[in-house]
Amino acid sequence: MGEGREYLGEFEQVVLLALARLGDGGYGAEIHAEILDATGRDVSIPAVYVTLKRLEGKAMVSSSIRRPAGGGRALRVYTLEAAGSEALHRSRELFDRLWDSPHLDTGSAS
Amino acid sequence: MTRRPPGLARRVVHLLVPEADRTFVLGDLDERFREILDSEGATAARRWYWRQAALSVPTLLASRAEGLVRGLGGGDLRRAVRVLLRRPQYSAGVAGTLALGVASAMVLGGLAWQVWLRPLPLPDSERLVRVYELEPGDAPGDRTRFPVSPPLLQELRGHDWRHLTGFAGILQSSPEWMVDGEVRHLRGALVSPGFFDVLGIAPRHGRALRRVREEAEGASEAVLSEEFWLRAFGGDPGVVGSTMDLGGVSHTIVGVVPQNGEYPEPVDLFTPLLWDPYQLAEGFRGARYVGAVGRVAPSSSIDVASSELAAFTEALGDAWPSHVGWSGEVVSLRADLVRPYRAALRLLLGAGLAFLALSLVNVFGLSTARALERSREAAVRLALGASRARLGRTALLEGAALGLVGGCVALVVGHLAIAGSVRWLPEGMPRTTDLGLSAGEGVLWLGLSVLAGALVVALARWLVPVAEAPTSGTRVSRTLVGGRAVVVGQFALTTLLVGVGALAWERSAELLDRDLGFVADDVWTGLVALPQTLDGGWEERRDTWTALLRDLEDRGYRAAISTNPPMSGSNNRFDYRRFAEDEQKFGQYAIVSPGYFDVLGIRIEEGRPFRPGESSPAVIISRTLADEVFPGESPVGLTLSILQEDREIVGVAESTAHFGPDAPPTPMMYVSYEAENWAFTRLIVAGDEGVVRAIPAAVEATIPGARPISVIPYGRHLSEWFRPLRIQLGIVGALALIGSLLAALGLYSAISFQVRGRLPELGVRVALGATRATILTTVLWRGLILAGVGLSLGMALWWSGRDILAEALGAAEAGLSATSIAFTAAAILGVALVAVAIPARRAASADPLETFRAG
Repeated sequence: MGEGREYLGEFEQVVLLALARLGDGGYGAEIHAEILDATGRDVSIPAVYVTLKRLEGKAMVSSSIRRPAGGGRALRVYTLEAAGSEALHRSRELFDRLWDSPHLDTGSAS
Repeated sequence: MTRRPPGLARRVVHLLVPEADRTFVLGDLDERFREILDSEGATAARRWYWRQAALSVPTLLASRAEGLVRGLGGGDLRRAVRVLLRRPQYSAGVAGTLALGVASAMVLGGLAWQVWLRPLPLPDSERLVRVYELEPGDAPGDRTRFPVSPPLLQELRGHDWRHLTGFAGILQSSPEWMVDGEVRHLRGALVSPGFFDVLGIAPRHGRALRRVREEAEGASEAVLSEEFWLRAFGGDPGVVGSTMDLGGVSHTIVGVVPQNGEYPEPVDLFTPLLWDPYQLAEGFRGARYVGAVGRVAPSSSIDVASSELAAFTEALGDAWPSHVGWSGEVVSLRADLVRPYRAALRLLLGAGLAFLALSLVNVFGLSTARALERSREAAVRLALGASRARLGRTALLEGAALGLVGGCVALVVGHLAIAGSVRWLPEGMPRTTDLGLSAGEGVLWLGLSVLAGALVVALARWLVPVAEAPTSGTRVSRTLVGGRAVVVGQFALTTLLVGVGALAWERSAELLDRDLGFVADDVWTGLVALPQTLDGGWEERRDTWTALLRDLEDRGYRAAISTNPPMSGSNNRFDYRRFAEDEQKFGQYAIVSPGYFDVLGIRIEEGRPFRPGESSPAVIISRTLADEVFPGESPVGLTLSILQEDREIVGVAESTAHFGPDAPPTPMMYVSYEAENWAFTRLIVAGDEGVVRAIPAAVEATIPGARPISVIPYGRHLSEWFRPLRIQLGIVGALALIGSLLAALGLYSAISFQVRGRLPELGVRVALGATRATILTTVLWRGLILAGVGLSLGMALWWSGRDILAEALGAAEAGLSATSIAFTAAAILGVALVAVAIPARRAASADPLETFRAG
């Protein structure tokens, strides 16, 4: 994997962070709901799956099929892996370094 | 109210989401849909679902494409390439066939598009029209078209039109540029002031020729073409305002205009086409030799404008007796430029598509054979867990890879063929100066090749059952039979094409050999009109023409005049009958000088030619007219009523091909210019290139104020006529060649497949003592029989469709001579022999042990 691929895209970060906020993993609709709650963005559920699949290819998340104990449909549940967690931190550090400049006003959104 | 998500939106997601994730994605969407339904209602829930589907489309499509690219870069592609390299003959056969088909479609279809259908590179060019006069007649389709006369052009330009916005005339010229004491022959055009406005061409430098009211002063102006300006003056803008000596007349260069190479035909310079008042008089109405173009008004159509022009020209008959019955029409300039070639272009377009279709059929045949060979391997792969989808993807990738290779070869071949088309296309084909393949077109053809390769190969693989052995079972037999049918069909088509080629060749050879009744070698012609000052009466005109002819003879040239020489495009009709009760008939009327028959080599078969000073209204008639009116008797000394006047016949001249070698001989009547003459005529002078200078000099010396118009070699009239025929011949020849190649490839693949399927049997025969010569002969015979069946079928098709072919080729009949039939058969069987030779040699050199192993 090239060094450039170790950094995450914006939507990849959003999905990974939502998954991290869920704690012990979650399936597509849960991640979608978490993103909606935290950011107000009503993203596309299929797009969430596409992103999770890509992240799984990079070993940043893993998935397993789970059937709820009380019955119901099968769910593909995703779990954040160490590589995903590291990638999130690297991304944050990258942005922190970039924000660390006297010319940037970090105190306001304007 | 339903609690189900919108069906169509759900279907869209279902289609785009990969199968592995489909259940989960749709389940999640349904779950969230129901939550919104409970909390916000059905409308909000449905809206939400639709938004989800819409937002998903780009992401899912991109994901699918990414997957495909990953597949191409991954194992499937490597595997496909490995498989293809293992069978180089099959791969080369498929890629080569595709290349041939795509290159044919690219070159033939592209040419047809660029020459025939592409708009002219002029502003709003679809409104540009060519103007014609239509001879009197009842059936509109049968009325011959003629260029316009100077008086009519003037009237067209002066009339207030509703559906047309402008007219201009154009004539070819061959000006001589006197520069540094040398004479340079230039290509020129005489154009009406306003010509460039009509076409929408703005000068690059300076200005265009002056407008009508300043015409008298504009006689010595010239506008250079940009190409000539760059070549002769190095692109110096300062040349505008300077003068150049053209045929002894000083011309001020007033501007430089760009040329698009399509219309008007490339020339070096333009000079004004101006008329003296006498040239616009009634007597000039029969002088229909000026090319005219116009522009249809923006709010109108060509049909409406044509009707308006027809009404206008027909009304002129009320005022001018010589115009009675004549009409006019406008036709699309683009279509008119290629009108003589339309049949050939239609043939090109059709052939391009047919060859593409044939090549795809061949690829299908080759791929089916290959799929049959590999059906066991496919069965093994399935048994080992490969999915059918995986097998399908492999087939698609194999086909796409072959399509890519074939497409690249086609691009190179097509590019070279189109770029070199200037050399291989017959000279004079219009709109071919700037042919080429754009990058976008190249990508399109490459994409088409990849898509066609992928789909055809995958279809062949899909149709062949995977578990079947290579040479057993009914499906295999059907494929074999189908393959043979395709080969037979291709050979039948090729026979037709080669036959058409042979017929076109026969016809053109016959027309080229046909005695035209005159000889145009080393003969020049130019139009001369008398100024009004000399147009006092027929005696004065006679003396002027006599002086001109004498001057040219003094310069050492044989010279003559004729108002209506053969194959020059001119047309002067006259009516005749022998007895008052006879039906009136029409022929062509020419006022000539005594030397006319000698200069053009027209034999006087009976009686005598005109004598110098012949002032009686005696006539010489053509053999055609003599045989028609006086069958079985000599007309010399008899009389014929011509234009309601009895004329004595003093001679019978050899018939000439007045309207071309393929038109029926026209009844001709000649009268001496010393008995009757007009203010304009064509000079016909035999001699070397010095004639180009001698004619203007003689005209200037004997007719003050007059200028000869368009001095050109007489042969140009003939080559204009033969040009479409040569082009048709070239096209048919090329089509026959491509068809032969495709048929050869089809036969090669069919016989190769048969040989491969019969290798065990051949091995047994070799093991049992069959000689290699016997095996070679057996395989060769199989191929030749297939080709022979195709040949017979093609000949039968030829016979049943000979009337249609004759019409398409403009021939009286489409029967082939014995020589052509023999040539066609030899060509077809020769192609078949070459195609079968390789598999036959392979079969003959089969090693019994190897063949058993292969079986």
